[in-house]
Amino acid sequence: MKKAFLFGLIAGLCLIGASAPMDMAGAGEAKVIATIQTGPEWEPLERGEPLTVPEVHYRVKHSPYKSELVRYGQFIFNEASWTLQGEYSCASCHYERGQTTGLIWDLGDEGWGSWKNVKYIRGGRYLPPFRHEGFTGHPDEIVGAASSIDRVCGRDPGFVFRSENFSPERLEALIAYIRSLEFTGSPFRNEDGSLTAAAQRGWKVFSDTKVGCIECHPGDPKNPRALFSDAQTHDVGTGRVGKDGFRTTPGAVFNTTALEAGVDPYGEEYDVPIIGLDLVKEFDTPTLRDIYASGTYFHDGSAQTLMSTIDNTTNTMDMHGVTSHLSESQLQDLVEFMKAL
Amino acid sequence: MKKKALLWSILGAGLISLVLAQSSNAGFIQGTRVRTDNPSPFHVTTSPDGKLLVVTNQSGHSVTLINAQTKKIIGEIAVEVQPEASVVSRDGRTLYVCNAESDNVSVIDIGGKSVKKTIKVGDWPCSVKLSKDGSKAYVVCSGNMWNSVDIIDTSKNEKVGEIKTSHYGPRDIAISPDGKTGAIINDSVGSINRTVDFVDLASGRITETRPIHGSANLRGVAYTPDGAFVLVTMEQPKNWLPVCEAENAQIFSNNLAVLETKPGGKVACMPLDEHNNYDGNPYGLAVDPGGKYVYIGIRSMHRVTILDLAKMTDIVVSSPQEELDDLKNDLTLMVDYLVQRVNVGLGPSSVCLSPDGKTLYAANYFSNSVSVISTPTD
Repeated sequence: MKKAFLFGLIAGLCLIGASAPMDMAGAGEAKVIATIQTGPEWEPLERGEPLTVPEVHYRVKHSPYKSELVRYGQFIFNEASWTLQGEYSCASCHYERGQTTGLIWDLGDEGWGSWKNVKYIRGGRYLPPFRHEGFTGHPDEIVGAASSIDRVCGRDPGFVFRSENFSPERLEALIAYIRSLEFTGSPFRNEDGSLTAAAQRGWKVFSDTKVGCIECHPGDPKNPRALFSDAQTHDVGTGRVGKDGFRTTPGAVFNTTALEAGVDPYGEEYDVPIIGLDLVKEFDTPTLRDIYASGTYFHDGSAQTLMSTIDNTTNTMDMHGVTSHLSESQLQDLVEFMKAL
Repeated sequence: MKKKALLWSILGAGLISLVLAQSSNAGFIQGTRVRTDNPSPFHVTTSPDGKLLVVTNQSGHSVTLINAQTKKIIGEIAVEVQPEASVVSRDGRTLYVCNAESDNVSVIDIGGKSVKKTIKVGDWPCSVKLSKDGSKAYVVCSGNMWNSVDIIDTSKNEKVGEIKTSHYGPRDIAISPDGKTGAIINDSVGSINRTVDFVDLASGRITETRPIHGSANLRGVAYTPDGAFVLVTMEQPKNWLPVCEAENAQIFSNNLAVLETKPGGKVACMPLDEHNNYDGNPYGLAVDPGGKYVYIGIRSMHRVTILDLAKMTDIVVSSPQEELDDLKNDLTLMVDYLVQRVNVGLGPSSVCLSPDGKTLYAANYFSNSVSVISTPTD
């Protein structure tokens, strides 16, 4: 009897012992106690798995997109585990709305020292090529899109993301998401969508052939499909080659003088000259749609405001439109017009 | 009698199928016209009494109401395009929802589960907070060339004014515990020194604009309960070097900026990253009402990071600014104040606490869910 009691006691204690650590380990710690599902359960495919979504149709026309592919692309776009140690995601630069942080980076894939500003990618599907130099100017916009991302994320192993490359299927999903991002439309119009008085005056300046904006940025503000780009590359006096390579940047730069002096090289120096090594002087003409939201401007972000794209302060005189004869108010009207696109 | 019953049942079935048809059609993605069935919860908040949870569905263009006690969905209300935040009035009867792409605010009668008014505001409203007495709603309009926080009088539900921020792109506002000051974060495109505006709410005047050097992607702001600090989720872009030179924490690092609220106070960008374990894309945050913990939704790593607030503020108080500047890339520092990382659903973009601080809610954008988390206990 005693033996049985002892056996029972030991067995009971063992059971308590086995179960206790699980409970005790979580004591005091935060833990998920419930999940409230507010929509369909969704989780991404494992990376090793082939995509099983139905055949997509975006290759033959813009829409309809297969939402699952777009959703998966959106997830990858916002997923940091693709990068070294989970540092950042695509959305760190092209933040969650496909917009831009407006900062410049030297990605190196177009020559070291060739600083480029982060591109605004909404509405990108309408207007390849996608790189500032227009190197990816294949007439087929899909190939253009694929090769543009491929240059940064796929071809050179782990180049930016410092991790595994995207498989072709995942790249496809990512592109489907990027292609789904639509222009937002300007808030700088009248309630009925018409141009304000200042923007109308600006439109007159813009369409004046002597000024020349409309030559490379053709379009009609009444047409919601107008892109205001000729999709060609042009030299507008922003290529930083040779002595012109010395320029100021909108970002903090590594200050070698400070480093040599034993001071923090990442300190308060935010507008010191750095060397630019652009390989070319001609750059892709960007669309002016959503231009109010897509700053900074020019390929290297050297124009921080719309005004500085037209007032000859950041490019060679009168190469980005002939504007030196315009009055201050005319320039301001031109800015108001651009803001409305 | 039978005929009447038949009629009623047909009518009922029709209504149900109409509702079902509407819900199955609901949903776009990121403000575009691309159809998706995913509502994508982007923001979560509670009513002042903690009994109601409100989830804002960015792609579903709706808000979901949840009974916080039973954890059951009790309603879904369609709003306008791409809602990104909401707040419940002090009496718990009215809900204000920011519709980012529509540039307006939906005023919802919670009892009736219906939109009773829509108020036009500035470009891309993405955050809304109430004044301490609840008489005003501050709507943060985050357009890239917009710099206003619009003020709505909650008794009339009309826009009655605006605060002009010092820079474009205000992203969020926090109200000080005494209700007198607002802290507005400006996530200004093109700037490497994004700013915090301190605003005297009575006059609408900005009393100080303080830069956070080397910052981008300011996402959320909160006061500590004692009002001595403001906390800001942010990232540090390291864009001064070619990326081929980049090593640990050299492309982006993720931080929580801690700002002293006294004029000219210190700014510390406390790392959220450790070696081999980065908190990519910190988003919404919540502060324990007891002032003990900070909770941050890490959108791109699918977890909530919990920090010991006192340990962080001690470092800020005891260190001169020069030392604090050196700390922002120190990947060994996080262990000093990290309490715990809790895995949640995919893409936690927003977190909020129950009024007693015992329960944390995280809105999981990609999982279409809300994680309910019991907070740490002593």
